[in-house]
Amino acid sequence: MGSEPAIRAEGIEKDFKNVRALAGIDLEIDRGSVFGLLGPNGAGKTTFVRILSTLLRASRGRAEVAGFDVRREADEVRARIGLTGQFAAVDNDLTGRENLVMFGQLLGIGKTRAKTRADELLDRFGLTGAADRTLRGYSGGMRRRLDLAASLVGEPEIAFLDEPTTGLDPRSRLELWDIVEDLVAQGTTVLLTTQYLEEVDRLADRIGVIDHGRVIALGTPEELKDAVGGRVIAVDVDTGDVDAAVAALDAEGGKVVVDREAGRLNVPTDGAARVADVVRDLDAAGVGINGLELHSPSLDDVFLTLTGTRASDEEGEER
Amino acid sequence: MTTPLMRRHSPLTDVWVLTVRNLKKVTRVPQLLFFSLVQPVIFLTLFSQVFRSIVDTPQFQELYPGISYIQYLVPAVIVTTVSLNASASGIGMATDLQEGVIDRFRSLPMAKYGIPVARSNSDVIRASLQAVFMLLVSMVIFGFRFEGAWWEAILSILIVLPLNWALTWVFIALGTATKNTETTQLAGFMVTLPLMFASSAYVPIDALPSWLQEIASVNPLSYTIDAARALALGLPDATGEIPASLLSSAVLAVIGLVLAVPAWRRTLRQ
Ligand SMILES: Nc1ncnc2c1ncn2[C@@H]1O[C@H](COP(=O)(O)OP(=O)(O)OP(=O)(O)O)[C@@H](O)[C@H]1O
Ligand SMILES: [Mg+2]
Repeated sequence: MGSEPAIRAEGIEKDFKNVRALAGIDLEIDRGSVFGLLGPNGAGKTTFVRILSTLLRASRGRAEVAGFDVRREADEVRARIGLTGQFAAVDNDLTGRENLVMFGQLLGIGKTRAKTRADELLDRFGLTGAADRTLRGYSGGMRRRLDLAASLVGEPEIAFLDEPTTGLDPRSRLELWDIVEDLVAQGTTVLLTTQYLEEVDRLADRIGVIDHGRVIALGTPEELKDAVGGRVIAVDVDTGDVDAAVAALDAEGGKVVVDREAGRLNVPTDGAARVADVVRDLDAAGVGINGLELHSPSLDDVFLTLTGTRASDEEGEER
Repeated sequence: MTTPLMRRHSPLTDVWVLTVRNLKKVTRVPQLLFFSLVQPVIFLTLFSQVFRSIVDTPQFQELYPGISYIQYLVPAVIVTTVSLNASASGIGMATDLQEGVIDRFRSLPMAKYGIPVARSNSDVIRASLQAVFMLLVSMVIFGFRFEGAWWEAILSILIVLPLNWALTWVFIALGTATKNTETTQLAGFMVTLPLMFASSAYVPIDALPSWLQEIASVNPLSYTIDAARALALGLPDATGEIPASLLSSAVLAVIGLVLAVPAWRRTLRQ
């Protein structure tokens, strides 16, 4: 049982009336790891999470979660997962504490146990002060935290977090990252979806990039960056000099990615030696260099290379 | 592999937990509670003035000799208000579906049919409290008095509950199918208004225009109104009205369940 993956999906497809949301997803996620599912709006992240958490039925394919079939053994799966959906699924007319106790009772842990568990979670999520207020008086960030707490009442083996930090301020986001790291330290498997590259970069052991209902890349953050190629030289020039700079650098052969507004050029390179070439070429063309740095490609570069669009730009589209 | 914290538990626990939750929610919206209690007082005041002259018609004199209009009206207003408050079940269901809390329930290893059952239960409990409140108001403000035996008085109130229970299922079907609070509210009015007025509530059926008579005589509310009124006023053979009331409520319950169960199943199996 020990080597059994926490999540195994085979050929998962989902068709809505006239939309193909998932076009065949195969995935295995190891126990105790954090898997980051990264994709733009409409990529199919939520659909995939809802299928794994038994809320939605796949049109084709099968999935096992914690060793149980999501369709035939749904209650076994439900007893072992915690779901924090993209939109908070809590009762706004009840207090924070009442919500947590209720979900504990519905899990079948008994009222007494549910109450102690609620106290623990309220404390851990910094909600003790607001515990006896109804959720109508919670801020968005507080509601999000309570929603996450609600998904942990049953001490799940596997936690599904669908865009848990969307709409949070930077401090709340950092707090949430800490919580995810705590979960992992306790041995919980985490499947996290996000549109933020830095989030998976920071938290995930493995990443799947999903677009138009397909996994288009899979690996550790490092592997994905390697796939894009070596390192990148970022050069800042005056915006008026951009065209001259591009012309000068084209001779170097590599594909230069230009951000005109910022006056930034990203030049792919295989080693530090090319930095000298770039500086010399720009100097020869009479272009002043305002700044220069050498860095590993970010996941944004990964996404750009794989899909041809920036992760944050793309809007959901009908297919 | 770790054993989950969750234990197998009885579906009755789930129904109980959710029933308590639904009742708690009622107390959390005081404005709603206030208006649902004030509304019947307004109805009683208005209708007792508007329809007062019906007492002088020969039909009324013949059927209810010597009975004042308020005595005639109170049992009917209790039956219509309390039973039609079942529309709150539909609104509650739609709101839960819209707000996403049902998603969380569905992701838990609980009895999924407990959700609509608890919805129906809590609204029947609320309806009984409302019936008692309305009765007290009618007695204190409008001078209503029971004229039959004590057990007839009790039955005249209890008899509204099966009707209310049946109607909760009709409205749960509506709320589950639409999954939208506003739509459920509007569609609800289209059901409750005809049921309320095309009935024996305000005017004896014989005094209605003939096309309305036909509707009123198949309206399940009419049977329960007649039974409640006969029991409350101690009319001769009042208990004879009970079977028709129960039967019409049973028919309504079957219709409600036949609509609600598949609608709920569709919601579970998306
Ligand atoms: N219930 C539904 N009915 C019809 N189409 C749907 C439904 N749910 C999702 N879709 C479609 O399926 C596709 C995938 O949607 P999904 O919500 O899974 O994307 P996502 O990656 O979670 O996007 P986002 O980042 O915006 O949350 C989209 O094109 C969406 O319009
Ligand atoms: Mg989504």
